[in-house]
Amino acid sequence: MKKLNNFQELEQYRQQLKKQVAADQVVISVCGGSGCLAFGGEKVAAALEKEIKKAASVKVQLKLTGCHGFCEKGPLVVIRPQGILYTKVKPEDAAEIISETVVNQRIIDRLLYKDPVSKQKITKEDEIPFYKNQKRIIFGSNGFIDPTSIDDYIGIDGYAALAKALKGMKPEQVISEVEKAGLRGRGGGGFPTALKWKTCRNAPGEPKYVIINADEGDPGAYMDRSVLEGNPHSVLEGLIIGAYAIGSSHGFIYIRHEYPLALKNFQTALAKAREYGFLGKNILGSGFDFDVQVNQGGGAFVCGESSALMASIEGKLGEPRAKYVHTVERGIWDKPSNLNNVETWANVPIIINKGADWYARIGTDRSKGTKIFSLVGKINNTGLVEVPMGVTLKHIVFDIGGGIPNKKKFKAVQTGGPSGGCLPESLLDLQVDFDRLTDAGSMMGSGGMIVMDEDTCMVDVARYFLNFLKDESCGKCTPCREGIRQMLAILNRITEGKGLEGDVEQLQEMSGGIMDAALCALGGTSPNPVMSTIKYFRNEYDAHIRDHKCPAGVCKALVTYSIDPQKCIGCGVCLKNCSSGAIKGAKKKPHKIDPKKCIKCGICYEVCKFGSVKRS
Amino acid sequence: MSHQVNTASEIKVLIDGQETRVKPETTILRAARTLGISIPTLCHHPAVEPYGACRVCTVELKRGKRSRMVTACNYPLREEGLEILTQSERALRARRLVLELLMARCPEVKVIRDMAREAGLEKSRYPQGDTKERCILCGLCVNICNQVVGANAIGFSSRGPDRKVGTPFLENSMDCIGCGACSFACPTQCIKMTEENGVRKIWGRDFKLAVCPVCGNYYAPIEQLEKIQKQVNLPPDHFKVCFTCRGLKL
Repeated sequence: MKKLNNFQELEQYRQQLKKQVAADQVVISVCGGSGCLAFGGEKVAAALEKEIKKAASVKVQLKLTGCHGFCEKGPLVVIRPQGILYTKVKPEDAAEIISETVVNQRIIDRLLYKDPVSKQKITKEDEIPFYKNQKRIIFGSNGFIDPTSIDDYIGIDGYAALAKALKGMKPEQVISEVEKAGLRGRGGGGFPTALKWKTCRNAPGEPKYVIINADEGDPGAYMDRSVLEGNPHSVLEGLIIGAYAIGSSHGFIYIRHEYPLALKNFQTALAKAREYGFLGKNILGSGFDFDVQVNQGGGAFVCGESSALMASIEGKLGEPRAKYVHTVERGIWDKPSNLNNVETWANVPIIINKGADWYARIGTDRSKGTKIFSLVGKINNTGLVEVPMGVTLKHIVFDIGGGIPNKKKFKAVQTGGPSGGCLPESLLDLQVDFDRLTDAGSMMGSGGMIVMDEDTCMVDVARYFLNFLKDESCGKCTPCREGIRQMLAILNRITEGKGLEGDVEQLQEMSGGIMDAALCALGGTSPNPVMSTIKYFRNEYDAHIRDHKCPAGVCKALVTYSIDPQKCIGCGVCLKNCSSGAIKGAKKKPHKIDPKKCIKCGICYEVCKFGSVKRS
Repeated sequence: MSHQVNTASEIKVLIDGQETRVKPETTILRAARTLGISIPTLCHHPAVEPYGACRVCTVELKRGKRSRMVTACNYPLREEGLEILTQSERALRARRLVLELLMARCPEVKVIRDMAREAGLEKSRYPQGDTKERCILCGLCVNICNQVVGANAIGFSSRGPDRKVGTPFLENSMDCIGCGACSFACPTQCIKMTEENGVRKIWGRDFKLAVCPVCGNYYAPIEQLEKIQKQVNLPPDHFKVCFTCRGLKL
């Protein structure tokens, strides 16, 4: 491919690409996100390719795309232009998909999505509640493009925003457009992006650096990975526009080592962008020079924190420093450095393309645009969902997420990653935006959303997150290193039934002190899981401490299993499944559990079909 | 006239009710000390860049109605209208938390106990750690070795509660010159250094000490003298006699 030397060449090339695609062109899009690949998506794509070759009469374009979001039902296959969605597709289904659906226009009923509420089968992707209730301005393109093809991206108006900015906008105008749009950082802090850019632009010192933070590490969160895997050019385009606005000629992406596909796709994107002239000297003939360097993280959670990330890029120990002088003034090698996360950068081309007014109409007063959440845990529709800011938790969990599996009751939703908080059922009507989540004692974070059902012990949840944070604390400052460890010791003793009167008050006191005294935001927010569970689930703490009971039946030391002789029919299923030989009983006679041998794994409770195993 | 101070370039700050004027970028700690206000520190040392790790110097900073917590050792005063409270209830709570945690980690370290007592704490409520543990991980030794000595012989390994100070891979380091600056600077005296029969032992290595031809005393590790001589580009015989005798000669 020849370099595109100016805006006109880009537009001509785009028109040429668009002409090549007929409106009735059949496109089969196979989800190649990490979730679907794990389910065998690549094999499905290979089988489809084979079948397409066999059926010479039809012209079908096959695309292995990035993540479509509906990870629960993978591997996903979408057939366009009709938009037919097939779920849980196996390689064996490939022949039928081609011969029936593509050639004969017949729907394969068994591959359709069945709505668990209405029990109806739904044919089209955009008609199923999971997709219908979303607003996918960032994530929607994933299903339409091959992430390794820059032509696909240009075909959906990719790099048009860059051309628009370079051609007709001064850097200050770009910043003011982002400001008017009201974009706030998607990485956790929710800081106004334009203000950050402006400060960096005006800070003395050259060169200036712009950085993509792709060190996503919250347990259960994978939004950024999926954007990078599925639409790497959108992130890159945002970065180039930002660099132009800030006056930077040197960019970095700091990507975690555990994201090999995201890394590969982004590197391909970089190479292609250089070839086409979107990176390098004199981009599109504008006189603007810019290029990007790739840095890989080494597995430390704390390196997602801006100053630690920058230390790591410098080759130093990845630990935070005080940010009394912000990194936008003194960052990498003490030069002004602007860091935004993957999703934030991906919002930029949309704002420039569609305009700040269009963008600012989405969302709430102080939180504009959409947010991608990774909806995981005890939820029917596990996956990535993008919604406008301001929709309720209920809308996300029930309308999109399809509620809780196995007819269990909703108990809490944890937002904001490990240092976020747990919100109870009474807050299901809370509108999800930056400020409302913070006011409720949680936070937006980078968009993790873990749903918990009635079988979840909230003290155990707090313990789990604190344990994660203890392991991931860098250990530099005393409150985080020693404080989390000591808080965890208290939580451990509570879950072991050895909690003391006053433990909750001590946890609260420590939380306040750690929030005040920790060096970085990770340490400062680390008590959140404890604070929010005490705030909304204090009764569970009290039950553990005063009554030595775990209401959810999770904390092993506080749970005993027994068999109700009235209900037990002596089928022997529990006996067969018991791994420690603790269950005894003759056939068709009530069985008994020997508490001395019982390891409290709970398998008997799970397998009994007669409800005769009691947990107390 | 020549002694007139350019007040325009200075900023006014209020610390515990006392007013002072400082040059921009002055740290709170420095400003407080000029007023005779004492703020406890552990990881701070004037010879190195402030590290802000121990957090005992945490103070309350007020800007109008808003209040936040900052560390005095590295917060640069850059604007007018700031008020600092070193003894507010919130500042003391943070300081007590830090000291109580450090007391639990290093139960036998006197400087911690004394500092805690001054903050109103007699003992720690947390389970006590190993009584032999003396390192509070303030990082002063690492920073001195890196920034002052330039040897980079020690650093941190592991993270979180497992963080440790030591030589790379905890093996004998050929970069160590046995200068002992780390041991000297350590606020809790936890880096062991001994001298016997002309040999200094530190970080698992033996360093031969140079003998002064004038007084016959051992005065410094040979490796240290060689490194400094090369680093500062001094004449080869600059360290031939000990520091005391060299002074006498001059």
